[in-house]
Amino acid sequence: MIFCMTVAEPDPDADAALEDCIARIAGGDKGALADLYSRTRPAVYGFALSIVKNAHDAEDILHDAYLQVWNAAGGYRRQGKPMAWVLTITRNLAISRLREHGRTEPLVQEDWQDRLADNPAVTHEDRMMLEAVLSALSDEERQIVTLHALTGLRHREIAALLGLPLPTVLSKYSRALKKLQLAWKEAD
Amino acid sequence: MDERELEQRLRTAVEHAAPDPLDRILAACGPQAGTVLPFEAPKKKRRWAPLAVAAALVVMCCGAFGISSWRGANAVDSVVMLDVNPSLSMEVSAQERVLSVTPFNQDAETILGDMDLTGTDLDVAVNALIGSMLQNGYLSDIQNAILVSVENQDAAKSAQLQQHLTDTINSVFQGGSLEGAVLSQTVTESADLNALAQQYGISVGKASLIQEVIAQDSTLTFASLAPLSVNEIALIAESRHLATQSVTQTGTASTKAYITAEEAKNAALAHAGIAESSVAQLEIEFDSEDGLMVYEVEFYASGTEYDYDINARTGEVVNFSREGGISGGTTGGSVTSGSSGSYIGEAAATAAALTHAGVSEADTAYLRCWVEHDDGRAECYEVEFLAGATEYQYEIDLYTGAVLKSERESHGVPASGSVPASGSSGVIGEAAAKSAALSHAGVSESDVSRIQVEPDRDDGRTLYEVEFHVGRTEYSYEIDASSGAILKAEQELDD
Repeated sequence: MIFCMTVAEPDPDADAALEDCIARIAGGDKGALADLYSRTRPAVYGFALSIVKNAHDAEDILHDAYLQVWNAAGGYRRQGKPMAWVLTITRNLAISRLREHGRTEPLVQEDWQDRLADNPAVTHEDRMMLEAVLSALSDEERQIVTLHALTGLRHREIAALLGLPLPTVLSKYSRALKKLQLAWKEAD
Repeated sequence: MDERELEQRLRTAVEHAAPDPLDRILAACGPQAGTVLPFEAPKKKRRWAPLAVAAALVVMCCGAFGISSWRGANAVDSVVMLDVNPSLSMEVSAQERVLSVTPFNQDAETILGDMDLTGTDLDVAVNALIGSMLQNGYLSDIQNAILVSVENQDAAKSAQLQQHLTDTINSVFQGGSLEGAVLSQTVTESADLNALAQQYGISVGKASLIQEVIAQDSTLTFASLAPLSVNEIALIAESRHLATQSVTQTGTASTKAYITAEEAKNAALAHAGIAESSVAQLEIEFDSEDGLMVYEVEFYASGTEYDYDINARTGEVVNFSREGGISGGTTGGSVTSGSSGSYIGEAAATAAALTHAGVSEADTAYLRCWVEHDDGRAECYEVEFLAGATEYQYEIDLYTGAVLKSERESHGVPASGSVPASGSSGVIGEAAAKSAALSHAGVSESDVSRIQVEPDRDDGRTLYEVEFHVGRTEYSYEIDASSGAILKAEQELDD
């Protein structure tokens, strides 16, 4: 009902696979949940991070989102928009997390750097990129760029997910990439 | 680095940074909410997974019929939508358990707060939601109407649920000593309704109500009703005697927020300078003007037709027109430009923009001011003017006259005819561009954050784009790279 106006997905096969996962999860299949998780983890984490701007909260949301998928899979209606469904769950959790904390301001940067520095998988370049995304972009710009880079959603679908008009998403996206390019250049 | 590379790098960074709590997630997965548990004792959990896999395979083989009968408790049976101004929808199982809740607007997110209604009984959920609406002031004696919409393929089940929910809500109202109005209806989703609901960010239920109302009165439009609360829509429908066939109503929508029809009439007559004894065919109805509730007052006097919109809260004249009579012509006007409502008026908005720009009205070659609308709602005053070779655009707050946004753009006139030589020799440099922008904004570099200076080319002209923030205000400039002239200045409050 919510995503009915979106256009065709870039990769219908991937969506069909995700929908199959959700159907199997509805039947209580934890293996299917693990499958869905491996296909969507970066998108869910990245999107959560782009909203809450805090690695600790984003990790909690990542955890809670899949639990909610597990519990709510039975209510999922096949519409060819499984990714949007998972991301809506993520967004709702992230927004209620922000409300819980009563904060919309980003954490100080040291917190970020500490957490990222602790993670051996994160390279120097990764850190520069994440810091650029966090410091150079506005909240909406960050969410739009993250969704576009990580989820395979089209701009129209991103607009529906974030409740923004399509032209706004398009202009913010192009502006955000410009800013990111500049921030990257400066950091380099 | 191009856009694709940039996105790829971001993807890689997030993939590396994302933690991997799969084990914790799987360990926390309990029995699914609303699922009919197998009859085995809880200890025999190990048999559950293969059983479920087998069941899932059966489901996939059986197709749609299989799914609906097998899923049972976990499948969506009905959709229940509540609209006050908060607008939300709940998916409900055949056992009347809530499977999911979707808020459609910010108000709905507010009333939901941290409540997780998934898995709760529908009655409990409705009680909690109405309670929260009362607590948060969305339902009160001045806004007392709620719309309940039920969608179920079985018409009898829909009707039963509709009645049951109406009773439940009425009893919550009584508990809160509120004389509420409950409008209820059964809806059938359609592509048309879905598209309207999506476009206006409202529930399918509210879209259906609005369609029903406008179908009976061609002077009303979807766009004019969509931003209104259910209370306001109900009042408009009622004052126009529009009988909505598929909507059942208990109680009466509140008019306590508004002046009476009698007071609206007197305001219109006083403005027209006509005694009531000399008017004929007087009609008074509720209407909406750009999301503002008004009384529409129409009457004839001495062969002239008068048409007034009176602010339903304050009694002020918002619009009026006169047609016919001695002169035979049409006069009238939008009083938004003078004294109406609490808008400051076009003259004041224009003055605010001119003062900000440091330009006197006499120096403008072209000057326009109007009320800018977004989604049918008045948003701000837009003021545009041309002074010399510079074009100014302003957005001015409707109520306070504050400058919300200013933009200025110079057309042509390169400084003293000096065309820069190719290469960098004729270019002022980034530092000079930055200081030109800062001094125009009247701030020092230490006051600003996120400053960016970037060379750019526009219409064959070399320029610098300078952007920075001061508090929540974002400034963007275009500075001519050869002369240092400010070609464009924009300032905007970050949202």
